[in-house]
Amino acid sequence: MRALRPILDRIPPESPVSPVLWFAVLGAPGAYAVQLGLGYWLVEAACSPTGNEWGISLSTWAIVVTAAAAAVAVAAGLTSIGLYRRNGDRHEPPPAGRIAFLAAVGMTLSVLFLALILMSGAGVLTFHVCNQS
Amino acid sequence: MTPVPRSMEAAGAGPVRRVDTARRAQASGWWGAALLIATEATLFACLIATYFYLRFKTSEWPLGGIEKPSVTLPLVFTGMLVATSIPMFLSVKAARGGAVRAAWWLLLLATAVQATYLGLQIHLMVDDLHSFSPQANAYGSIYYTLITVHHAHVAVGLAIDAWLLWKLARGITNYRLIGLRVAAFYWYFVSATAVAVVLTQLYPSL
Amino acid sequence: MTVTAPAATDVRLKRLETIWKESPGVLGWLTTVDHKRIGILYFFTSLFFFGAGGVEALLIRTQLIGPNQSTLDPATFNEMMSTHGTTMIFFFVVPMSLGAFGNYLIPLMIGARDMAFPRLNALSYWIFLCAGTFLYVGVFSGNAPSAGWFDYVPLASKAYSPGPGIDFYALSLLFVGISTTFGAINAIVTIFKLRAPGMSLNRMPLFCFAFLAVSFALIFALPALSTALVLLELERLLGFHFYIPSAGGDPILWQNLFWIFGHPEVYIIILPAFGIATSIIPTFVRRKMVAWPLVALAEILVAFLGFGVWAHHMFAVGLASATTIYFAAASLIIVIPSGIQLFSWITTIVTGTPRFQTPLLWIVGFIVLFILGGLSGVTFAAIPFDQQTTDTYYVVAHFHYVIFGAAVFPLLGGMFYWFPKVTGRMYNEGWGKASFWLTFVGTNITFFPMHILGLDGMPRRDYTYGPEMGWTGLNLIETLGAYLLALGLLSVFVNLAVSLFRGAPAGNDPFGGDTLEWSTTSPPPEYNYAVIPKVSSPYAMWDVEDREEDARNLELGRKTLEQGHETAASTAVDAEWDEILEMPSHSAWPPLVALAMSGVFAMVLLQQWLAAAIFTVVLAVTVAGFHLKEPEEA
Repeated sequence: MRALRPILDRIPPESPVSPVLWFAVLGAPGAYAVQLGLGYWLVEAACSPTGNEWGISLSTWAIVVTAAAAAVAVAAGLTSIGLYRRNGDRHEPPPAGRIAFLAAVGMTLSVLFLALILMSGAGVLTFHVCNQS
Repeated sequence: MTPVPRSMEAAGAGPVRRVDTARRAQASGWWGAALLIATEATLFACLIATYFYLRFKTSEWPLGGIEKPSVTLPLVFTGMLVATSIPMFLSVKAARGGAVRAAWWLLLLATAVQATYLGLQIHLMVDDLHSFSPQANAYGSIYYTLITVHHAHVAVGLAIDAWLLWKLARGITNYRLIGLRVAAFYWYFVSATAVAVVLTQLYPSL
Repeated sequence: MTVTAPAATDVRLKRLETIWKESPGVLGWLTTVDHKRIGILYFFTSLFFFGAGGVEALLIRTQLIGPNQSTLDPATFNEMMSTHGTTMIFFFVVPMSLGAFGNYLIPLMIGARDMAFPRLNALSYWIFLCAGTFLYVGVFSGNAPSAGWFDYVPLASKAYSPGPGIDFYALSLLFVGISTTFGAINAIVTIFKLRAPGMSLNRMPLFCFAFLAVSFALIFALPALSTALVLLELERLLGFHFYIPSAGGDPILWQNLFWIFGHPEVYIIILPAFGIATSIIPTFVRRKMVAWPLVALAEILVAFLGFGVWAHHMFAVGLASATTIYFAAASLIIVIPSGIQLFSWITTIVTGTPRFQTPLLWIVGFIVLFILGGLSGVTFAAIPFDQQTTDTYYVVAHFHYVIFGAAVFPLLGGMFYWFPKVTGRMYNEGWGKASFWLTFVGTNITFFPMHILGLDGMPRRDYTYGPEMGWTGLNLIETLGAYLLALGLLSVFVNLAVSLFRGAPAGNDPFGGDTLEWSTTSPPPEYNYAVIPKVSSPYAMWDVEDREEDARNLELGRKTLEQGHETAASTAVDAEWDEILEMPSHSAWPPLVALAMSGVFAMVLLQQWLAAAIFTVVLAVTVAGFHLKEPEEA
């Protein structure tokens, strides 16, 4: 984090490219995308002839990936709430209006994607079979 | 009177540098290039995903008794291409600072190395064709498709370089500076995909 | 001021007219880069393909009117069914949405004078025209594709489809994909860069959010299709192996690649419709959209989530349960953003003061049909149910409700809504309402019974059925419904065609519209706006003070940008005025590049490799020509 400070210092929170703001918006969808991508390939690997040789445990990896993705989604959601509280009204001119609008977007996205991440994880843990059931 | 610049009128090192510094957002051309790069990057992601998808369908890889690829030369050549990012970066920096001649020579240097890279890679590919063909099996097919698509992108990059070298020799305008920045952006992308492609290509030997 | 205000205004308007004047005649249209002319070109070309796809549909329905008919033999039926789907999706609905509506309206809605890359815009159109022609050369030469619009291998492989039909399919889609990619890039950069100063992202019309989402989805979805098609052609034409198991390939690879494109594609089809609905509703109910930020978000979210559901088209293919679960979960969640929009639209209509004129009728029809299509769609998220109904008419019912009902109805409503703006004349309201009801009733009669037939076991894509199956009655009803539907559509276009010549003058703003295009004349002048507009909300037309300030700016010559072919460029998020850009005017290169590209594709199809290489060199020359003149010189 300390190494990032010079960069973060140069980008004030009101800037349109503020990393904090865009993490709040994109953190949860990004975490879901990673969970889907990793999850799909884990199943491909685990259920393939090679996967058997490598001994990939689908359940363990599913728990790890789901937990990590969920944590990121929660973090993004909390960041959104914090930003929204500090900036209030989306009808204000930029930067306050823009930050409030995007924070509202981030809160909605975080809830939705957290639900999706948990549903996917729960599903994989219940149905971790390599054949079509 | 508006303080907002009429960017496209800028011609010559001084005016171009002033317009470039004044601009707060990225130029339209930069955005266009970024989106084109995004779509091409997705294309490479699909090809690399296809490679690993086919790999996970079998336990033997490469298929059909084809020899594992040799590692050294492809990695050295890729390093050569990635290294051209330095003269490309410096060329853009020079042009933005008004040093158009320096920018031109740096671009020429980068182009020469990039063209050499392409020549050497094609030579390696022709060598490979003596051992196995793309029609042999799925391994051969995806192997050659992946590297040929990459080489095609390098060829397009060389065409862009040639156009820029021709235009910049006649002076700099706002449009040509954006073109140079776009070319550098494109080459960073091609270098990144070169790394991804070579690691995929050499994966059985790594 | 020494000059009286009205005279100064007239001088300015005259100057802008002269600067932006379009060349007359056929040559003017061939070399145009004006987004409005290109939008009109796209409109009529897409309409032609709509007609072609419609004829194919009527032939299919006529063949299925009763058991054991022989209107079409099995091979021709397969061709009609494949060409119908391919034409409607790739050559009608996406070009009509993005190319016609998007091109014409996006610059107007954001207060700009053209798209960000006008010559690229023209090139997109000419490539589209050439690609559609390419496919139909195949169709009319007896080489139509016949493996369905999703062209599964091994049926589409050389062994089972030895003729060139599949090559026409694959190459024409690669060809049109180039056009669509360029169109998407153009739309995104235009929306990011050319918004009027003050139109920050949260003040942008919802129409633009929908088109932003569509364009991003296209950027990331099209490469998957291109990959699938290139691998298919390498296999068919050069003997490579990707999809054949005996050589280490896998037919499911095709399905994965195709649907990674194919599912986002269906959201690409419907999102512009959402954008049109969110433009029409506020105008006709005189109320701002309920939960505006959530609707904007929902539009983007549908596009994003569309990438996470592709394997729900493959639930019956033998994938591991552990894989399919991810897609079942996402297929359930994706209902939520669609639901958000539905609740918002309905609440806005119910709490506003609705005037049920023709455009709003089409949108209400769209809402009903989208609900029905969405309900049948969400049932597919349940894997066991999907495995029962896949490849039956239940699926055909679902996707026609969402594609025809939910994507095309808003396009038709949009045609009526913006007809006065584009042509300066009003359509006939009575006929408009009648054509809506004919089409709406026809749609339901055609497609609703398909749900029942599907649950009853009728498979899709079958060229006929026996009388003992008990499907005869419903098939007859569906075919009659299809003829009624065709009549409804015909009455739409006859109304618009006649009104083009005999309609009453429309004026600038016949409906009390909420977005900027209603502030200009009908049709808009070539330069769109004499003054770059002042914007402080997403309903710019309803902000009277801002429009009065524009009038004052015109008198004073502020923000008129009259020194050349100019428009304003702003920062991407907050729309602070950043620079003034000079736009190109006419160019002959776009049609030439498209022709050269056609040569390349034609020679590849014919497997004339040397000729293809020569045409590639010609293409490179035309592309160099395209870039010879920098935009401000063009």
